Amino acid sequence: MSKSFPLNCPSCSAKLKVKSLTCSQCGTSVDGLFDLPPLASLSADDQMFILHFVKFSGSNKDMAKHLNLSYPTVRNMLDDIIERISIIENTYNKTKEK
Amino acid sequence: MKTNIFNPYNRIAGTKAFIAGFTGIILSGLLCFFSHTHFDGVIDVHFNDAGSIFLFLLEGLIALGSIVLIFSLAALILVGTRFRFIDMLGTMSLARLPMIIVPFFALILPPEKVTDYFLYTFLHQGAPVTIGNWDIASFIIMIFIMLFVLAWTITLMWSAFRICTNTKGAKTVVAFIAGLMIAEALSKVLFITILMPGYFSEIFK
Repeated sequence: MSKSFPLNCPSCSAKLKVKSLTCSQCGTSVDGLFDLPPLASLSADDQMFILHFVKFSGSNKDMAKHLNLSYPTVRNMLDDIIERISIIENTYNKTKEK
Repeated sequence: MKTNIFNPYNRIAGTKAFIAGFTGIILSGLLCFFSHTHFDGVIDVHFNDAGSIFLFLLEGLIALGSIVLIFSLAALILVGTRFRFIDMLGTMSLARLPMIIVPFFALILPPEKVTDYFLYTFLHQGAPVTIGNWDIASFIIMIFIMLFVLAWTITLMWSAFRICTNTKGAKTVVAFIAGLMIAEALSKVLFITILMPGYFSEIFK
């Protein structure tokens, strides 16, 4: 069973941060409080969309063929992701300013 | 992502939708010629006199042209150039595909006898006509078919407008309703100007 990456706190819905990173080879741990990069803050579906988008050299037409969707649907999905990235970036910048 | 008969645009838009929709408009024009069905407006259906086949084809094209022109302008105002004209043309052409049902059923259930009866009884036009129960029943069935087709077409146009502009909320609803009304008015003006030359000069003389 694949686990989904949690983005929000299950208790208060606030954005989660990374507290600890561990080396998969030697087990060394690094503790701290790290922000997730904007792309990692997106949902798994959005990340998959961006992955395909880069693989298809940013061609909406090729994406539409691959996903079996119409061109405006793919373009609208991309517009929605851009909007979500802008919101994440704004939140990230506000947190940094504080 | 919902794809159904009221919103097929997740899967089809652009050139493919235009080819399907345009073929439907031409076939519809041919059926209209045989059934004397007039699409003399963006969302108008009337059963009147016979005419040349070009008249029936032109009616479909004027209606489509008015819709595409006005909704493209509405999209320009809403989202600037962030929409493709071919998507508007394709999706709006496909939105008129259900219209083919009306002239098809008008061939099976011709409503002209009842409309002639109404014309003679209430407006004293034409010759006297006697109608039977079957004529009334088929006329009522035709009305329900027309209402369903018009509702279906408007729903498709709404889906087309939303997917082409990728907008939501009140401004989209207002733009769509205003666009539909302006397109209807424009199509009427074009019908009169093209098909009834001299009409306006007579009025404003």
